[in-house]
Amino acid sequence: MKPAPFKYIEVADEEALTSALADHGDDARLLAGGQSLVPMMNFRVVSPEVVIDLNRVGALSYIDCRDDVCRIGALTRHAMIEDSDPLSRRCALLGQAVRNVAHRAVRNRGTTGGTLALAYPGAEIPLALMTLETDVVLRSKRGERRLGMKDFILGALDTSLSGDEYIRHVEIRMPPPGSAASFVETSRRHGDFAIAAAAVVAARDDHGRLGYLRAGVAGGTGAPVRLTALEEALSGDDLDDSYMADSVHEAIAAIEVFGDHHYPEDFRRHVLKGVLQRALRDAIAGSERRHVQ
Amino acid sequence: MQTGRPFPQIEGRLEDARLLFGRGRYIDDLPVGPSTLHAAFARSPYGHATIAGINKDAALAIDGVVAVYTAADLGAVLDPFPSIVRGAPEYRGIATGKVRYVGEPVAVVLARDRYAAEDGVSALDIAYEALPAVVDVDAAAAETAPLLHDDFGTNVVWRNRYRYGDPETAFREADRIVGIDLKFPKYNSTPLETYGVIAEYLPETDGYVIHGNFQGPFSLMPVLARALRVPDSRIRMIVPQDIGGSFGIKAMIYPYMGLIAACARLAERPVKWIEDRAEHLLGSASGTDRNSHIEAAVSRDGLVRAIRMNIRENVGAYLRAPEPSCVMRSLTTFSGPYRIESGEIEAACVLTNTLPTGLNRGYGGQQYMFSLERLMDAIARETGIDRIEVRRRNFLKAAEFPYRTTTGSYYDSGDYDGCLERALDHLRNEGWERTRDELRASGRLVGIGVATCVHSAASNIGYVTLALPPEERAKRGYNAKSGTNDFAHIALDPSGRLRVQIGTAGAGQGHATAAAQIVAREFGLGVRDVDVIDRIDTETTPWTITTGTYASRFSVVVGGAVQRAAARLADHLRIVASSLLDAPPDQIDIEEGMIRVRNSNRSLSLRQLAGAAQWNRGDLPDDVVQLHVSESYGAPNLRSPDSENRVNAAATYGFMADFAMVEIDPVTFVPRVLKYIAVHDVGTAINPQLIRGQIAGGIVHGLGGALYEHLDYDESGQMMSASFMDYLCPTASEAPQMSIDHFDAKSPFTVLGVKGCGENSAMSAPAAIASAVDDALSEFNASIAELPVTPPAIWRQVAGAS
Amino acid sequence: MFSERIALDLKVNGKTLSGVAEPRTLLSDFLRHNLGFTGVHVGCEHGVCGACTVLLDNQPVRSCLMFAVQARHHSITTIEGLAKGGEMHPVQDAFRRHHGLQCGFCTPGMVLTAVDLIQREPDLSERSVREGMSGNLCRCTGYEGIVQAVLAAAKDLKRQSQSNRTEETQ
Repeated sequence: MKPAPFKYIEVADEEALTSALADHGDDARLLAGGQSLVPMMNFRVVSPEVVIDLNRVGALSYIDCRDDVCRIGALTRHAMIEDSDPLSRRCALLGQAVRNVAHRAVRNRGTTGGTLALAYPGAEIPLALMTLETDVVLRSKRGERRLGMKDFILGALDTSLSGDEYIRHVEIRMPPPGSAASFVETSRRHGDFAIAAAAVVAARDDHGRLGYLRAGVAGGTGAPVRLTALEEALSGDDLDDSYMADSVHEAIAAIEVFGDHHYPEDFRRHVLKGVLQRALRDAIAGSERRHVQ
Repeated sequence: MQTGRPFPQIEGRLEDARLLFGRGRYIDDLPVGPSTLHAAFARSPYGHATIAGINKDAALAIDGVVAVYTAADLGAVLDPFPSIVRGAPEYRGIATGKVRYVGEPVAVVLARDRYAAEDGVSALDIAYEALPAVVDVDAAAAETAPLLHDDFGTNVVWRNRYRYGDPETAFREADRIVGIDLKFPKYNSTPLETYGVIAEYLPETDGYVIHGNFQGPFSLMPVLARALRVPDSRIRMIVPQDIGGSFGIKAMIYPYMGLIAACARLAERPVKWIEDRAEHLLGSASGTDRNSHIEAAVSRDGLVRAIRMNIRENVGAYLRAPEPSCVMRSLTTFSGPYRIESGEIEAACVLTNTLPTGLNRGYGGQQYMFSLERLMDAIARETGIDRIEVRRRNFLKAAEFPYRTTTGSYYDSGDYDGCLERALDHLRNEGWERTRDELRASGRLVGIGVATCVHSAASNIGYVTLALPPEERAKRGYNAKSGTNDFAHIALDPSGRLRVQIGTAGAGQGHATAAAQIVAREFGLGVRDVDVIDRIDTETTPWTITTGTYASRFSVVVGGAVQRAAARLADHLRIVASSLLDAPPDQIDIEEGMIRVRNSNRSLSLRQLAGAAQWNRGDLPDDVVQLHVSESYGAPNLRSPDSENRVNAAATYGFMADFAMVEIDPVTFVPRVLKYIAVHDVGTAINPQLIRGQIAGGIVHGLGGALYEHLDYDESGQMMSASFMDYLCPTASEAPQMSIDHFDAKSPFTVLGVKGCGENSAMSAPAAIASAVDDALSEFNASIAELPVTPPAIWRQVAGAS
Repeated sequence: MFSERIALDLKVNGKTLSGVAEPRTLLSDFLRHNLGFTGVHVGCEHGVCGACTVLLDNQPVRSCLMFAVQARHHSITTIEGLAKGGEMHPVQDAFRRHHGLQCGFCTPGMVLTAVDLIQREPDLSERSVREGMSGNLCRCTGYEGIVQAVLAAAKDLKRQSQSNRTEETQ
């Protein structure tokens, strides 16, 4: 399975990258980690005329967490996120999510920008970023723009990225200190794409009530979905199991779910509810433990 | 013969160093000459379509492309591959007029390298007119089904009926009849190394040299030769030193050997082809999928008197040799380990728009054992007798061996109760039932399953001819088939070192190490004191039409030949030594590499003896024998089938007692095999570490078929698992903790008492795991009748119940 | 224009080696066919089986998912570079002792992945070995020998580093 021929352009900084994109835009694909692009090229599912390799643009590889915001450069490898102590302290959800991404060898190359630009349905990092409040910063020769995750990922394999644009970085609003995160994924084998995944972050307020709740799901949903109605329904006072179950049921019933040859729609809905319920339980219990500490 | 001594052992294997250093020599590692062209296939994107036209122009214009061949071109030098079944639809390995499965080769592009060849494939302009496809075996057998081969008139390409004992009476007199319908899926063992062929035509002799990672059986060589229109002796077949896994799948490389050889002839240049993974999943081979109905005539006490079975076997788009052998284990060992004295089996092979089939680790064993063991569980359920107890009641007892089954299979030895008991010991010692109960108490769905199966090993080539009706076999001029044979050569080289030559076409089973152990034992040496060359080059390696690594035959057939050769060489050494040491041969012992006269201090080292025989041969008596021996071995008791379709299907019959513990997530319904116990009777154990490795590998292959691996076609014939992202091979994370133990009921018939090891749990694990899933879902009255057991399938069972 | 070839110098197993490739030439193919490192095996060419795993700057990567031209600025270790002076690396030796290989095709990728896994997680449990090795497929061994080998190698390497430290402090 060998790729079709292409013109190879290696860029070493953002200026060269911007120019190359301006020149070749629609005929080109950006090569970052290559863990999704190269298989597609090897299968000849995509055969770009031009490949722009941005792996040397070191300025795009960083993790910078300060105040309430974590900035992650687009070229940051998944492995870097996995190994990052500051991130695991301030934004545990991302660390949990990334551990579900394929296998270490893939995480050594795969990047935040790459996984966002692909927007594979059920992908872990887009789900985590959709669940937290994240802005995606895009740049082209025409300038810079910033989109919320919901405006960036439009559907399965469908983003707002223009042909001449690249992702610079993401800005994640950190959950409050003392929050607990739970990323629950179900797949056939360890490291596989998710059949269904849920991401939840919860934190108690000073009175011990659930003051902060973020919940999202992916897997058969097209784009990852943040469940804002569910967040509202569950915030505040004591939650009993049956109220939680009903809310989860309602939340999943309200979203669009796509079945396919392997997993029919009703099965997917059932599993989405299951992982969401687990993630909610874990995160809410965790938030209580952290609150008590 | 040194049967008293244990086999010397080493840690690891002789083969390991080169493989660990990355110095294996697989087909794609072989250097090729500068004129070699590289091939890529254009393959059908349709399950069923007419080829309306092939335009080569754009492909030929691609830089680096040298030639493009279709069936029309290759037909000048390549005939159809002969089938066992007379009149079966033509199979050429490349589509002719029509495509009949997604992935079927339609054209070959030859270019300076693989990249350019694939560019040529992309540029080929092939027009198709889609036809309705059929992928389900029962749908394909129906009268109204789309026909794959218009001239043949039906998709049922072969059928036959077999009757043994007196099934009518048994069913009439049965206290109850228990019957189930089953579906067994289509999957492949996916060796990690794909197919590879390097072929060259020799115009000076009208012959071919073919390098290929072909595992045998070498009975396929005459099939290849006929297609290439040359006598058998004019194909020089060379198998690379290392093969990256075979598992039966690499038997079915022969059509590609034919195609690439034909390309080489037309192009007048050597041609190399390395299959890629996408091609492998679409276009190599697979086991059959099978719809079946099986029922038992059962007594009040749960004793099975007879079996009736109806098999609809999906052989894919073409019936290609060695099919319909896929159904033969279901006939010849239909009684499994049980005393079932009557049976009636109807089997039909049906063509569908799917990948053609062939050997796949177990070759019909797993399909049948799934049926028989599911039936035993069903009998247990319906009679209320415990699953294990009902098996025990039906087991053949140790005193009954050797036992001739009603189909003619001659079970050499066995102690099924003893072997099962040892497996139960493991189960008890590891606290399986306690673990299950504790996990269940905490709300988890956990079950234990069982499978007890007979493993026929070292197959009798005669069983293949059961495909023909007895009248056909009785005809004048019919050439019967029987036996399984192989060669070994052993020599004492001039420096006194023992060198063994065998030709197994192995793929990592450790044949060289095992052969060295057999020889080392005979001479009282260490394993590393023996050199083993395991190589097949049909120009220089003696081979038989049963040569190859399949049917778990190595230790029986090649092991037998090696032992015989070693023993005969030892005799020769004693004769030569008697001359040098002035003592009669029967007073001479060979131990620890020294040749000694008993009760004296006269001795020679192997080196001294070899030296004398080489350097001073003239001073030895004229009749002194040579220090090299070629020996052949044919397993005993293997005749051709009789007029009642009875045949001893294999040289030996091992036994497997398998237990699986499966957990199912109660919310996501993802199943996991937590633990697995396998206690197998493989007879004498030459190398326990190698045996454990084979059993472990088979467990994961069986587990793959039970839960993860599926060559899954949709109704239009599109293959839905065409990459490793969808075709799910179990990883280390899905593999269970294993307790593997060995039980030795030595074969009285084989030279070493061995019974063959290799396929093993690839055949029994699907049944054991299905049994465990039933147990895990017992509160839902689940009854798994179809594989793979996927989360949606489990959910349907559970949702259906509630 | 498209079949332009690029001269490449790659640092492999400590040596700088030269070759010529198209931009689309996969690193796996370049290592195997241009530079002769046939210990790099190709099993799927879509990044799932792990047979092609090499170390890129000491980190395991799938060489079938990189173009050779990308490897210019990096240092690569293949299986051929692991043993020193004909002496097996402890991971290789553990695979040998525990029958962690049969056909050997997955072995180079397995071994290199294990080397990295043990380095990052010196205290491995059976479960963490199984998960850590789950990106490398094996069809022969059922993973039994592999898991035993990695656990044993982790112990060997831990003991070795402890005794090295002891030596240093003495």
